[in-house]
Amino acid sequence: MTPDPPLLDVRDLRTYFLTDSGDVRAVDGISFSMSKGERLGVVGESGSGKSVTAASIMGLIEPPGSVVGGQIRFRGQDLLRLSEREMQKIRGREIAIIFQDPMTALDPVFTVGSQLTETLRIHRGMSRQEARTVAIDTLADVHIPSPEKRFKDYPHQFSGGMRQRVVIAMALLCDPALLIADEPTTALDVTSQAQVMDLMLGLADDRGTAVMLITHDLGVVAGFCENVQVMYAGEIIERGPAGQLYANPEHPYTRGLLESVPRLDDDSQTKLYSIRGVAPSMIQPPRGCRFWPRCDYATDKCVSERPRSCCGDSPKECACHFAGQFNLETDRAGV
Amino acid sequence: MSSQEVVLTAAKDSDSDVVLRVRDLTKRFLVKRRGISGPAQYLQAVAGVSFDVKEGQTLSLVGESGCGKSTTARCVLRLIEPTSGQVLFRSPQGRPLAGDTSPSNQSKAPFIDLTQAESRELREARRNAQIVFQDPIASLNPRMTVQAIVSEPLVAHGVGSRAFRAERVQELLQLVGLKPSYATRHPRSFSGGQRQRIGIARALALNPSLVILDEPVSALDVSVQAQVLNLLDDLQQKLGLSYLFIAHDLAVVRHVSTEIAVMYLGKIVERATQADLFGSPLHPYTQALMSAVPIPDPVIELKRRRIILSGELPSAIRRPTGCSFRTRCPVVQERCVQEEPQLEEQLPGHWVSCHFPQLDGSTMVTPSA
Repeated sequence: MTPDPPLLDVRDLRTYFLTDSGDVRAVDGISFSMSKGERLGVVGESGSGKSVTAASIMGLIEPPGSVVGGQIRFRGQDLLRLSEREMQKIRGREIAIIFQDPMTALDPVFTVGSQLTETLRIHRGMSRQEARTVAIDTLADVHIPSPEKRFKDYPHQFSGGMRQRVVIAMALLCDPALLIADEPTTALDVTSQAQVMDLMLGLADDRGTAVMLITHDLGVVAGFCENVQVMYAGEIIERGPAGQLYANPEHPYTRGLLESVPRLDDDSQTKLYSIRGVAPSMIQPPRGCRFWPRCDYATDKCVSERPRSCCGDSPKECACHFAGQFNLETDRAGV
Repeated sequence: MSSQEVVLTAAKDSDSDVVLRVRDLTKRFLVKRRGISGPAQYLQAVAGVSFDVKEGQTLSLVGESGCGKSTTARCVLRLIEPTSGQVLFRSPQGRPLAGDTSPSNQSKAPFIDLTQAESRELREARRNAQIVFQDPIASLNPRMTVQAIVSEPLVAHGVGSRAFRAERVQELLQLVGLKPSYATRHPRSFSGGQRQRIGIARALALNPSLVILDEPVSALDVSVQAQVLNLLDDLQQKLGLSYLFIAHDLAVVRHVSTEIAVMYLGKIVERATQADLFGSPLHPYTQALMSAVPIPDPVIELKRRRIILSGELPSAIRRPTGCSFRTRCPVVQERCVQEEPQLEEQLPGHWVSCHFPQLDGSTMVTPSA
């Protein structure tokens, strides 16, 4: 028996933005894959390329940006070779995306009900009455109270958390195989975030939807994702099953990130570990390892030689010359 | 206990180390009026808030958007006029500017009620109480150089000569971990974390005793957030600063605070020391809030029991009768609808406003098996 081909397979993807001062290499040669129903976390700080990755998959990169290389295979088909018309059939129906700001997906001048039914009528060819029933059921699925009444309301009459839940409802109307959620709870309060994540987890489980969760929040990923990949300066620098990656991060950047967040279950008020400096320019990223200027362990090799990048072939990978050879606690105690 | 009695009990405590004392602060905004002489509709953003900030310590106001924490902070400095209540502030006398060689004489001054203060008194108080804002982009004028931004409080208060101010800016930039040579640049050439450092340098220019930090790290990436939190800690130690810290992130709050007040719909629902609040949260809202904060550890996350609050934050225009939290409370009872709970001292130093405080001690912060 051959294993199932991956649902999504990204090979050596490069997305650059052309500017007057040079090419901004937002995504610079990343490879990864997702299987059916997998929940993958893509973690990184601003400018690491995580949202550009999502936009590249959806075919939403616009000039001055362009995908300059690589392949994005979805169910074996290279999305980069599809025409805009063909891509439209995939977008929304097969792969759906939700963003941080739910108002990017909701039109303020139409009622929530009419936006939901429009999707159903266009994509699934339902009659007005059928679509209305399904739309109301879906609102109930995402825990909108009195859905029949709220069906007639405009987006501004909903709270932020409810709007995001409506957007999730809309994204799932066509039962996509893959849902890309780009910072879906970043604009929400923590109790609304808990509601939204709880809902996404339940829906993904029920329907077997694969979810790519893009976020800067290591906590949100911990409760949701089976696998995690960490991005830095346009590259994937480490990937692995969530349990292993959090318990035993091998890349100094991953370690640094985990160490620098204050934790709710930690009552110490001692100094936080902090990664020095700031993220590098993406026009002229450092030669060698992109993290070396901020790395506590950098050697001459790191400055001159680029570490082998994560290629997506094995479940646990780390793009560092000295992967896993650090012990932060003892190293720091020794300082 | 009536709110009057709360004030009296609080006054009995040793208050020699209190820098800022806020009592029964309220702020309501006029929303609209029906017709010309019809009844006015008000939004009660802050509905009777009392707390003390002690010298050299950090009091945090924590809550979700719309709970009134930022409005409270702004009312303290009268950047927004409070509707009623007292804001008692004690300016330490003769607190010198760093670099000033005159002997420091920080004798205890009497409290001044800022809500009643004359403009001269208010100006003097504002020398000693400064604010750092959340958005490091919006809070710095893009047309001004760093020199002009950081020295602005000195200019506004007529402190020092031009040469003195230039020197002071150099000193301040070094204090917040920036190169003195940055003084000639404009904000656009800096990253978010560096801009926040510039905002902190500006707040420290007049050597204040109290700094109000309104979500100072919310807009920053985690690696930069740690740098700024460490800086704030250093500055507090070095300069003996008192902080009023406004935040929504409970993990950050746990890391920085001496004492914490949890706000919901314009009121403090629970107030305790850092250890007591996180060790045994008593209010159902505090518990729900804590249980909702994700912990970056998959093993813990999979075991945790999360309290998912139903419903949405009620409107501050039409507040619920009785307890403000009763519409979403998992342990609500009939009494909560009828009668509004008062903030009472349930355990020593641990104040909670709930008819049925959750004394069983389930912390939610540690995983429940």
